[in-house]
Amino acid sequence: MVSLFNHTNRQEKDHMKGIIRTVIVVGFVLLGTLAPLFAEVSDYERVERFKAEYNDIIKAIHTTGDQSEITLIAERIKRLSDEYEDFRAFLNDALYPQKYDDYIGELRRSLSRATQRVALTSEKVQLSNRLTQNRQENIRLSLTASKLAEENRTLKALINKLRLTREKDKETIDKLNTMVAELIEKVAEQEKLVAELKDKIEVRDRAVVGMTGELMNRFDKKITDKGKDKNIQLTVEKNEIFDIILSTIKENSDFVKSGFLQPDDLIFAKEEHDKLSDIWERFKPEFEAMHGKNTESAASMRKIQATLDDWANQIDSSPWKTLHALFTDNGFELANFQNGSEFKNAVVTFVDQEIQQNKRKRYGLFVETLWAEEIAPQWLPYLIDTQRLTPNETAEIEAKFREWAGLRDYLMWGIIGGVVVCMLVIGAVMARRRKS
Amino acid sequence: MRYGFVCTLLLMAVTVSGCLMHQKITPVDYAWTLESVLNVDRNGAVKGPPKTPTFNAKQLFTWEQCAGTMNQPETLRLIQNQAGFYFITAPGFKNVYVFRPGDASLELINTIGIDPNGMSRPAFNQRVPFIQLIHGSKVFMLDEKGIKK
Repeated sequence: MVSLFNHTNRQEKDHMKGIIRTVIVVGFVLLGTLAPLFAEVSDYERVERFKAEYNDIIKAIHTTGDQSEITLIAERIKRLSDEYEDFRAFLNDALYPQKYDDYIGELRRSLSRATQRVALTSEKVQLSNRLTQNRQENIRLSLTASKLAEENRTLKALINKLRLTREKDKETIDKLNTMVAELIEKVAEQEKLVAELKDKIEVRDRAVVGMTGELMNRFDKKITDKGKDKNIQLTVEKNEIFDIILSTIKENSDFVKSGFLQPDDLIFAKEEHDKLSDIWERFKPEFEAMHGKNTESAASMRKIQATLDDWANQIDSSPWKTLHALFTDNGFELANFQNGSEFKNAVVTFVDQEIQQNKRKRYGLFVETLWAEEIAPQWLPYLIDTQRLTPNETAEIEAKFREWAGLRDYLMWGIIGGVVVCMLVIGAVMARRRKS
Repeated sequence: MRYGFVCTLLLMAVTVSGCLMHQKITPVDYAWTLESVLNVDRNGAVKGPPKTPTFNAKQLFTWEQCAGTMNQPETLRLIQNQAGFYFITAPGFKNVYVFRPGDASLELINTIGIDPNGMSRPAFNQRVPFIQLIHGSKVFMLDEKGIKK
């Protein structure tokens, strides 16, 4: 019994010894860990640590591209500020010629600029994605509209051929009516597609104009700040704008090149051209200031100017190309024309040739159908309003048509005269027979 | 009479020259906010940022018995106290040397023994009117005369 008691007592003592040993070890470890916290620190090391942390944060600010990183950096700045707040007076002296407040202020300003930059980058990425989607949709619409326009031209040419045919039987008339109905439907579909395409282009251009305008304002504000990091940031943003402007101009130019545009579409294209030209004129000095007048930047600027000029040339030449295609599709081979004077000459020469070779044969199809139904209502007002065709040139063409129409009148009078003469002859012959 | 006049003149001359010799601006605070950590090249030349003295530390290394050896430190730590004395030490030094700026010279005023085994990472802090020396976990308050208890 005594032995058992002694054994239990020894166990308890051992246990207590173990606890005391553990407490001592933990105490030493804690003391070793915490001791440096209470030790004196060299002021020099403190300043160096502050500067190192400052430089590290500045570096992080310059390389960040993420909102979550911005939040972490803001926390680091706060920690730094809290940690060194008690040494503010000392650091104000030690960091001479700058002050502690200058350092913390610069960190906060840099972070604010980085926040703007990240937000801007995010906006640009979103816009870029929207523009890419818009571009793909535009290409699809453009291809469909182009294909439809070609089909419509073929259909119109067939209809006109059928109209010329002499066999006006029921089957031909029915076929003609079906084709006309199909054409009306397809033209409506084409117009809808083009309208959709125009809407998308307009939305895209408005977005580009808005974004570049906003960036310009930001540049104007930032341009007063001096500093390597800001200049790098500006360079990146300006390069992105440059790419966006270039690709937008190219797309617009392609829209005009597609060749299915009506006068309204060309007016729209001209308005878009003027808008983006204006943006480019505003952006050009920034671009020049950014890159200087070296060979590479001069080449880039020439490239964008050439694309703009090409777009303007496409808008200028597009109506003439479309009109020429219209004549050709309907079986009228006119000489090429690039301006109002050449257009007038081509039409007048064509009518002269027709008068000589075919007389009145194709007058109806050319003047009454093609000219009176399509060209005069749709194209003439546009050509005159945009000063591509003068009223004198229009008057000359109309005079030539009257001459052609007059030739047709002589023929009619000839026929009527012939019929009258024939009737008179027949009447005379019949009267003589009665007498005899 | 003549003797009295000469004595008066002499007295005036001594007084005027004495006044001129003792003209000074007081008080002046020479204390640096922060110690300077100066690089030492292989030849012992010490050069730091502008406004710190440029000198050769070979003599100092001879006193510390580390001149020309691998133990020659790469940096010196220098600070000036409120009274205008320079305190110099370096990693591996056993002492802190106190100098007074002289005519194109540093005049050794005092050698304060700190650790016969040498200090591994000494550092000075300005704690007016003293200079604080940190040596590991030990802290010493110094002035040009020595360690203050």
